Amino acid sequence: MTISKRGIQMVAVSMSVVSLLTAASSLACGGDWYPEVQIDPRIRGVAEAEKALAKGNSVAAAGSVVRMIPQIERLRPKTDPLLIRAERVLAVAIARESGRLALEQEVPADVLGHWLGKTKLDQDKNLAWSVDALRRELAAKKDDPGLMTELGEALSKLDGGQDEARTILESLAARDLIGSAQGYKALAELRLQKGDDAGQKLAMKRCESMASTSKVCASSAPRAS
Amino acid sequence: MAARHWLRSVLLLLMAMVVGACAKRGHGRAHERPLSSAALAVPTQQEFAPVPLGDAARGRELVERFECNRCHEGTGFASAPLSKNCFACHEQIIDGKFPVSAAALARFRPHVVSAREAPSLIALGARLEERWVVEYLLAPRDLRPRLTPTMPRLSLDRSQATDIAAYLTAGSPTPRALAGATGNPRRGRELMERKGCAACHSFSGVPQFITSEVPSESAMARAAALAPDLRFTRDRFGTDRLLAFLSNPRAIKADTRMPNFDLTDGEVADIAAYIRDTPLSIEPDAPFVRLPVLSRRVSFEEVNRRVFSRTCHHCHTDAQSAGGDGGPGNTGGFGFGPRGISFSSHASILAGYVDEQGERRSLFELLPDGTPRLVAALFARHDETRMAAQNAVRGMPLALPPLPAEEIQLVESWVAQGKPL
Repeated sequence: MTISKRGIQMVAVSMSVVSLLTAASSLACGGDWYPEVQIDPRIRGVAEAEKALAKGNSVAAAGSVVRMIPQIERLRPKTDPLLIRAERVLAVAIARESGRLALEQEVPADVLGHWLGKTKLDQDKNLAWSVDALRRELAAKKDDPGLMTELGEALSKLDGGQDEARTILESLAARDLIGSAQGYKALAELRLQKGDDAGQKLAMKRCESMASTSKVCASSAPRAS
Repeated sequence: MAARHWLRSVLLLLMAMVVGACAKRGHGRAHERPLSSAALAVPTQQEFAPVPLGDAARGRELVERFECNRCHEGTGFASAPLSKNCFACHEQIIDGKFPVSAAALARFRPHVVSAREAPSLIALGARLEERWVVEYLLAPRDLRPRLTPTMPRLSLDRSQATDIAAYLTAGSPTPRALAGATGNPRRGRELMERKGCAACHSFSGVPQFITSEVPSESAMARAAALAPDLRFTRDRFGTDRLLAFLSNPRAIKADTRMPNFDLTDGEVADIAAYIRDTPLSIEPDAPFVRLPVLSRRVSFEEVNRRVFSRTCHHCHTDAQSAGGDGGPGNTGGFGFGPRGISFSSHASILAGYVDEQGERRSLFELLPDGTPRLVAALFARHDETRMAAQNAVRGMPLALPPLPAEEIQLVESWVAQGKPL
């Protein structure tokens, strides 16, 4: 028995029609159809990292960024606001941790690389990256006292950056524009280095009144030598 | 030859004197005439076109610069695009048509329900006294008690306000008034009670009307929102315009929600007499009481939740994180330059504002009396609404009711405590 080509076509068309008709009443999968919406999880992740940073959890904030965007060191974002925010979080976290991100328990070693900052060389490298990232962001967003405060913080930790940091932070402090408790803490440390005890106390007082927790204004982590 | 020159000069002088005398009569007559039932004709050939006080052409430029079309129809400019059109945006939110998620709409809706529209400026000159418009632009007051927003106090000088008033009132001549019967204020009040005027209008300073409930039906409620307090009408309209408007509101302003009550000329004169001549007994506003700084800790979370994000953030936001243009209080608008103020976060608030010279300054810098600038702006809004002396600091929130004393206390306490996170 031979089946004609026409017959095969008829059978195929019939099966298609039947399947279409029966599909209308097939509600076994829950009845309704929902589009599969893809939402970039990094949007929420970066927002959470920003919150963690604001609360003083710099290591957690940095870990979140490095896990989500492992290649961030090389990206040098210019237009993508999400990446710019993520880069800023990481840069500020590095400065607040003096170049050492204690993330061994959270992020694989091959991803972490020099971010761990176990040696002074790595810490310097991390701080230099932090300063560079904040300078780039400031170039695009001129006259942002929040960013200037953060650049001042980062410079205050970088070898040879203290004079510039002092200029930036003193100028902001004179206009009551320091954007964070950590900014006042960096200023207090810079003033102490210059032997300005009274100024150090004033800046520390501002840090303590602005900080959400007392640990924000506690002494910075010592750097590897 | 010399005699002919002399004769020509004398003739010119005489002509000038006649013209001057006529012009003076035309200007002076508005407030000197008894209310007349014969004054009710809508503008026809018997019109009186006063000489504008300012430069209407410059006024048009200023209306564009101050973006009056963000709120008002009838400015002579097309409505602002949705992203800058305050009331079209609110309308779409209330009607569920604004292009955001249902969850966002549900979140927005309660905030805009009482800020649905602004009065149109159509035929302004046929309704309002040009001089009154000038004073109102310089010191806006709450004309419409059932409408939450008020006219913002713009950055205007008297010359600019005069030019804007000249432009907005141009082309709408006042109906000419003729002599006739004087209205009876007592009958006017009775008529107003019978017609239910108080269903929409407040009339502060006179004994309360019997029909004073706000109508629940939505169209009526919207009409009521735009209905001015009649206390101000005597100054706003003047006699001629009031008579003409009461006689046939839609002949004067096509889009008015004021119904035509088919009043007789005598009834119109009676109502106008009551509105214009009834002595007003206005209770002075209670003075604003500044509450002491709180001794308990005020966190940023609390002050942000109760004040900054609820009130300030709408006009002062960060375009990068919130979308849009950052609002008029950040990137500029309504004639204000870009101030770069953002209430998006703790850090952005501490970043201050950009002054006239382009320099960043703190929102918390102390003014000569020791009050932080931000707190002074919140106090100034109370001064503005109470028609107290105009403060050098612009009142905030702009065009909205002043913050209650407790909320200002919260802000002041947070500032005094060092702006803690």
